[in-house]
Amino acid sequence: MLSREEQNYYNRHLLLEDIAEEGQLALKNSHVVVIGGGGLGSPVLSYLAGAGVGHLAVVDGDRVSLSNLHRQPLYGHNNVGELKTAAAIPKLKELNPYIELKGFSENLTAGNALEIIKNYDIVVDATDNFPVRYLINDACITLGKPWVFASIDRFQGQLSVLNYEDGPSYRCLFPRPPSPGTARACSQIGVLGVLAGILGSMQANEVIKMITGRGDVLSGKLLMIDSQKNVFYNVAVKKNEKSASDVLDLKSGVADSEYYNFCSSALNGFDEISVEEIKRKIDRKEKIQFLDIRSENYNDGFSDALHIPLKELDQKIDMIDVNVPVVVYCEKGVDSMTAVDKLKNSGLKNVFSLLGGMQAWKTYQS
Amino acid sequence: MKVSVLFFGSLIDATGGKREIQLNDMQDMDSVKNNLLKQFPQLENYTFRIALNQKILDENHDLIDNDVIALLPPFAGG
Repeated sequence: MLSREEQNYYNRHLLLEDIAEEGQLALKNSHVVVIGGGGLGSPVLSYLAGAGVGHLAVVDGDRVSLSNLHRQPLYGHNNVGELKTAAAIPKLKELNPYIELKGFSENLTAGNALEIIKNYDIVVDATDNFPVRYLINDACITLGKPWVFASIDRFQGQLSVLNYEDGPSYRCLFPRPPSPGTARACSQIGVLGVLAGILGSMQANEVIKMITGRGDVLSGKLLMIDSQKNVFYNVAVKKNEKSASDVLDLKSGVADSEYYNFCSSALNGFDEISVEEIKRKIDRKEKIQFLDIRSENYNDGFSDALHIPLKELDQKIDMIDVNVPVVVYCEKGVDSMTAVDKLKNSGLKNVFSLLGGMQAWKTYQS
Repeated sequence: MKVSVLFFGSLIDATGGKREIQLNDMQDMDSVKNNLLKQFPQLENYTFRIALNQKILDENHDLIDNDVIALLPPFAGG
């Protein structure tokens, strides 16, 4: 039953024949978890909260930074430095006080994925990297949950509903992750803010169709969008039974590094170094030049770290001492692999990427 | 056969900014692939799926006039 206030709040939905009270109650009883509260997550969360998804959760261990705001209207200047979950929940609550909200202030890992996802009917992938995307895929297959995938590249986006009613999964679409350096992160190549809004809104729309059972769910299809050319291009994707055998059995205890290795060794294999190994090197007082390539200087990592944002690396490469081993780090250990590739191409030999990035280091430290 | 080829995402870097090209005298998908790799050798380094007339294909396929081929890479950002 909807209260009188809820009937008022959802008035424009209730007027729609394909939603009406039945659809609104289905939304109220639904459980949806959004992985990532960033560019895609911001519109997904706002619209799903507004739509009345009764049990809505967000998983994100990141904090709001200034360079997030142009595409993440869920946050404002006053939230910079705050955990995204801590900033998002009150804002969403203010938007819709009739739903239950939950924030997981941690990143999705092979260790927590099943525990978090099992309580939800639908998963939304609003992440920005391949290791976690393959992890979401495998967790959803293990638990039999459908998930709504989207990703963006500068002015273009792609969208699909995966593992829905025996439909294809991400591994059917892309059995292998891309070669290092060929599919880059927004922090490196940039992204049109409104494009994240378009794709995130479309993800929310898919979730609503799945819950209300009205309309065509984008399963078995990949939608490519080019915002500069006004192109919407649909491609049919078949289920590939072979790709199911590549799914890692998360129930048997898979390490995160398996996903990072899978996604980093696609072509030429990167030299990665674990947080444990770094700690041993520091304890042994080995000479290491730490290189922080995140776009902002957080000064939260290693003492004496050199800070060169990835996009300035080519120009400032001379600042790096070639006689000392270099350990490159970013937030998650994805962009740093690209940096290692760049440095190796410039002739540096002793270069490593910190596996799992600053997040792995902070987790290890605590 | 005269066919069109569409490029998306990072593949547009490999084609030097081209989003679409036309190819003449293409018998099948393999001849398209060979032509593209010769024209844009950098494509070799990229991961992508190939669709013919909006269906992803793995195997070779004969072509007819006005067929549309699309090269689809995985995107990373969010």
